[in-house]
Amino acid sequence: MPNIKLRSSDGETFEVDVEIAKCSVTIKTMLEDLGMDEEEEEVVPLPNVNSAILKKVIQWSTYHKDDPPPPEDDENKEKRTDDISSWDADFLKVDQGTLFELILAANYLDIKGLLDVTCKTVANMIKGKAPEEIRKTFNIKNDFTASEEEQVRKENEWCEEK
Amino acid sequence: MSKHKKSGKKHTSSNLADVTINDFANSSVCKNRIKKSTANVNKVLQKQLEDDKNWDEKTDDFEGNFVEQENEDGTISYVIQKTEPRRRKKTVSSSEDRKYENTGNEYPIDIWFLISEYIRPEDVGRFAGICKASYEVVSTAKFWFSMYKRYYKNVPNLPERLHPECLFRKYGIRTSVIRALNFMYKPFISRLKSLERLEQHPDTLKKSQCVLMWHKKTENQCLYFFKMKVNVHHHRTQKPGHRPDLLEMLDDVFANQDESCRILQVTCKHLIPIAPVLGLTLTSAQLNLSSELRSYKLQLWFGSEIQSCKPLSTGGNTLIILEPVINVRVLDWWHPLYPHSHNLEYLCNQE
Repeated sequence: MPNIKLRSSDGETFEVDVEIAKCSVTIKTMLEDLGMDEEEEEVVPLPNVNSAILKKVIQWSTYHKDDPPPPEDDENKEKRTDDISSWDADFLKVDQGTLFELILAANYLDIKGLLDVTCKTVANMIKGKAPEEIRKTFNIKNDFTASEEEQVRKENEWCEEK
Repeated sequence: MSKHKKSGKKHTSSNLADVTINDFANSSVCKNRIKKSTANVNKVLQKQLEDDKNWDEKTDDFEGNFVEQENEDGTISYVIQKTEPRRRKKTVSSSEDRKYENTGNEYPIDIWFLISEYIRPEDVGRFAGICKASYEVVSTAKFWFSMYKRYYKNVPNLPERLHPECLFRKYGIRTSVIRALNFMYKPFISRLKSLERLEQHPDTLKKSQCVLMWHKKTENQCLYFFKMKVNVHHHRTQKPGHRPDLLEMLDDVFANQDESCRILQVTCKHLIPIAPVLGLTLTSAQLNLSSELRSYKLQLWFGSEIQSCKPLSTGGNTLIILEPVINVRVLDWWHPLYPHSHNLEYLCNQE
């Protein structure tokens, strides 16, 4: 099987199967548009993904390489968040920073399946939690002032559970 | 020698006598001190201005509390206890606008846009409250259009103005989507049903102002509506000194004329004439079983804002008594039965 070399932002090179790399629409388009021959020893630079995250992305893509192409997004349909497979759920048992970086990488590499599952995981972790708890869970900086926080709370009384 | 001295003195006094009013007025010597007479005029004017102030303006300067005091004869009277005026502390830590001292990660707005596609309507508040970037996402028209498309269901009672073909403008899109969700989104529908069982007491409207009142008579009952507005002084953050132009106003996603408003809807068995209470504040509400034990008696005390902090027994309140009352409802602006331009037709047809 032909391989391709992917270079992370921190200079590490990963040799992967072309078919696995093509899970990423960004890489697929790059290879097609630039006419990069699979036999060539060209290295694909990925300046927005570091080695730790790229390793995880390759791991996910390898597991899902035989999956049928994900259906086109139907914006008129409610997005389910309870259909995460057990393998994906285990795969995403990572620290909050990694989870957010995976979302950014999946978005940049245009891997719909991975983007879906990572966003669903975060959305599930937000469910029913107070903003303070969410910030604590994901180690997010609270950049609101006390009065702004109160304003946001007042504006959203409509969705508060009574 | 003595002669000389005398003549000198004489000379000086003759010079002073020559000073005219014009010389005094155009003197180069500065006289900052205000004349006693002028100072007194200022004092009088200031006092007059105080007296001319409206009662509600005076409350701004009022710093005190009504305190219950028992007299020697056992009667109770209320006295005003002056409180120390609040002073702004100089330390930064006590400032209201102090930012929380925390260190954490800050993520780009893109990530919040991506996650927002998976947020359920009931989690919007939690999501918006995470950080400024997530709040920014919730403030976009894109977020609300996407939310509407994801949860749209052609339910029979959905008012025409909340149908997809009518929702294409950014102006007030958030308000329309929230209202539509209360018709289409199952968890919100069940929430409303469960709230109906736990009727809110009109007392929850205390300290809110009546901004509109009307009644509607049907064959065998009369409905009274009181639109109550809570006097909140919060406004969406705007750059200081920035006045939005017409185009900005037309793109106002958050536009909502009913923000902070609730409707008190009282169903009576027949028409009862009531006093107008427009502009007055609800000071107290009592809902009791009526003497015939088959309906209720609703008593609403309205007063001006300054009176709202006084006890009930004090005069100056307007009392509305509605009896016999069949039903009392407190409707939030997003409630499907809240009367507004979107659903008036639907509500009229329902009768």
